[in-house]
Amino acid sequence: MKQLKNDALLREHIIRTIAAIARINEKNIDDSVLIKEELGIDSIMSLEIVAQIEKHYGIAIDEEETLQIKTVGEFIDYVQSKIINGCQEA
Amino acid sequence: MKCCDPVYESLKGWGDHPVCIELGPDGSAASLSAPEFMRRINETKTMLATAGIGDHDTVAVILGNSSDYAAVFLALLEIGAKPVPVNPAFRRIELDEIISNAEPRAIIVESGHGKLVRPYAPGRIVIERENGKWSWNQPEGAKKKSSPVDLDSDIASINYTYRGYGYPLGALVPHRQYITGAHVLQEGIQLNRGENILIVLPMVNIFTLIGCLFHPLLHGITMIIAHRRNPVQLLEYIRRHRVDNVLAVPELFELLAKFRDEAGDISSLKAFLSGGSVLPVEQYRGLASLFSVDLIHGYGLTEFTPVSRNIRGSIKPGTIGVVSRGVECRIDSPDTAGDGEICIKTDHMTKAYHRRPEETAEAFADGWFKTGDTGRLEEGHLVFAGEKKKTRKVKGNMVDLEEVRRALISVPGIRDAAVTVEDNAVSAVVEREPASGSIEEVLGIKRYLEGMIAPYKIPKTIRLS
Repeated sequence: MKQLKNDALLREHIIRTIAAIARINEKNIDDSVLIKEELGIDSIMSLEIVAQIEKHYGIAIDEEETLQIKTVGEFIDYVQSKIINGCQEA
Repeated sequence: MKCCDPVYESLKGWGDHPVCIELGPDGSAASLSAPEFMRRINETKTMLATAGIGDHDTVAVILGNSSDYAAVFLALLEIGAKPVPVNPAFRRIELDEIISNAEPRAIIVESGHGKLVRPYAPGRIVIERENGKWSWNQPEGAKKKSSPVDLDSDIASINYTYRGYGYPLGALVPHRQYITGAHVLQEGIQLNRGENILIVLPMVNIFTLIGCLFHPLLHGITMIIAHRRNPVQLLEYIRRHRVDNVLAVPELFELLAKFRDEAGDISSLKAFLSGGSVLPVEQYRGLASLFSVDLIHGYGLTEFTPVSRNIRGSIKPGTIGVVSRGVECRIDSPDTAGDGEICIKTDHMTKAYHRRPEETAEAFADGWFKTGDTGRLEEGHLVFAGEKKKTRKVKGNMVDLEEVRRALISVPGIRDAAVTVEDNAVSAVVEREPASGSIEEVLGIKRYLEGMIAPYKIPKTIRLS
């Protein structure tokens, strides 16, 4: 139950971060939305999103790896895996 | 004289401080002394010769930033080959034009980009770089293929740029440009020997080649090459490596500003060297004050860089600085506000575009180069007004509006398109029949464009009419 709650908070926070940087209402963003094509996120915006997420969760995101990510849902999964791996390494 | 010769002379008197520190994605920092860097260049020369590259060969260089990039560029110049720096972000339309115009004998590419250059590989030497190691193929016939004969020995490299024709133009950049450009840049930015500079922009641009390669090597400045560009990481690099100077576009400095509060001790910073985009007065004042640095903004083109730069100690915010020594500048057909086309003349600039006589004749006349940009002179300082040519700068990247239109009309069903830049983003209106106007249709167009042009050129908004 606790895991589910954390997942929901993580998802909510990531969507809120993306929405603020893309200047889009977060209600218009769900997991299937394409980051570049639909939200118009360019390379400078991507750098800001990555920096915000790294800072908030204390993780390191490989910029090369994020190039393969297409949708908001994939990005959420990616961040989640980084957090879990970070916890396991610690 | 080749432009690598004074670099080698400079390296002889380099002293103990490193030529280059390369920051790996894993947090590592690999340092190269002057003798080690010279050894790297010599090894690269041997590798190039073994692969079959020699005097007057044109060589497309599609590499990310690294000490190897610097070594490859200098080694190619030394052996008399003509490097053709190519943006790794380029896709089919840009690559088709560049490869067919430059006809490179060889392509040097990161292994991850191997697939991208596969269509151009037949009959060419392809050298791949993977984890700092080189491997190459030597196809039958590549060794015997004749070298290009239409390039004078005073031409150092072919650097592609845009003027709104819808295709890139290969500026024939002379050796003198690299050396003169580095020296007149130094007259403005006045860095001290032993300082360092953080490199974040792609080395493919002439601004970076001069500001982050030739200038540091000629003036005893350590190059710190960052492989990551996210602002938190860059601020961490600045703190950890006591970075003195950063060269970037205003948009990247703005991004650093958003994370300044959590940066810790970055008091080592002395100067931000800025170019590639407009830097309004308010933005200038905000950045300079927030970071307590000299923010030195300038202006240049692939045909000559820097045309102008502010002089440290007498910076005039809102301007692109004083015209560089040795450069004549005039403003053609000024309007009532004094704005007209900026034209320049110097012995050190590009004089022609490779195999493009008509475009050359339109841009170069009577020894003058028509920049295609407009501006005015105010108290000896140039003020940038805009672009007369059909190109726009989008977050520091040059976008040729006609090239984007060409890419759009290559999409099945699109008859015509109008491309503009609004609020620092590309947008387009396209005529398509039949058009459903659905989001899926727009996404389909964007997906198609991903294989055709660099990501930063793909319109953020596409409206169907």
